[in-house]
Amino acid sequence: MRRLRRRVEAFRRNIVQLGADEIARRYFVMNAFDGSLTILGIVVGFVASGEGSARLVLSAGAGASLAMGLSGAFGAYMAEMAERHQQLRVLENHLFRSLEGSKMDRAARQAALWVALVDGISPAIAAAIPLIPFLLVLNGLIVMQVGIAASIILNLVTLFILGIFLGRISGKNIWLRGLFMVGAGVVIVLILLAASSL
Amino acid sequence: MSVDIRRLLIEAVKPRETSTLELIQALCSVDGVEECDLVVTDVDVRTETVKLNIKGPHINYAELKKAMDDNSIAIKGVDEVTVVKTRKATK
Repeated sequence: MRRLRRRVEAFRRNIVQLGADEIARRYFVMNAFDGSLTILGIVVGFVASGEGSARLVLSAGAGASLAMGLSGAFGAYMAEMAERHQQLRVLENHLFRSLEGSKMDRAARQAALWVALVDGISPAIAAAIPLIPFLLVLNGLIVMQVGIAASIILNLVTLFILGIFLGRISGKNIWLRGLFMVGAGVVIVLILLAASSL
Repeated sequence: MSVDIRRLLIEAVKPRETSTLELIQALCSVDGVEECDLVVTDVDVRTETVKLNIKGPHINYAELKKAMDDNSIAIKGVDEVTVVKTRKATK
């Protein structure tokens, strides 16, 4: 147990030392926003088309959620490892020695893994939350109209929470940040509705 | 009869990202080391040059070098060494 705690502590120190915590925070917000709005787009498109079922929305949403998660994780890992390798090569030139197998090499890998994990999980979770009402519709617990409304509300709540998170990081007014994110979501819904009516 | 390394003064270069505290603790954990001093003598954009004063009754140099390699330290040179000849006790 103590060994596990020490490893977790070392992992956290590496993440902070290499600045991966900042990068992960950025990816978390960006990708959660992406995930949330992707599902919002699917739901609005579904409403505008007037066709389809809860099962269709769930399939499309789950597929999008999984795709975003996997692509986010792989893409972030590859990009982060490329950057870290480049930084290690520069350091090796300064130190006149190879850093392969050293703590810095391991720390770089851990940093890339952490960023990939956050990049993969954040859009998937943000996308999964507004799909929950459709699960209830599928099981006959609520009607479709209530499900759609609940999904949109959950989506806006997710955006609000993201705004609060951003506000806490930046030290600005958290309520204003939350409302700003909700406003962005509402504007995007209106644009989508206008586009789908063309 | 054996010859033990009692003190080493090493000039080395380390990445700025490597924590000084962690490094010195790692070096002091090496077999035969009892005391470590570290002084940062130069700093540039990416690296720090440090002077390491390592003392102990019988410093295991191979293990020390391994610990330094693991912590991404590059040895520039060993500036001072103190070795002592010890007579092993016979039964």
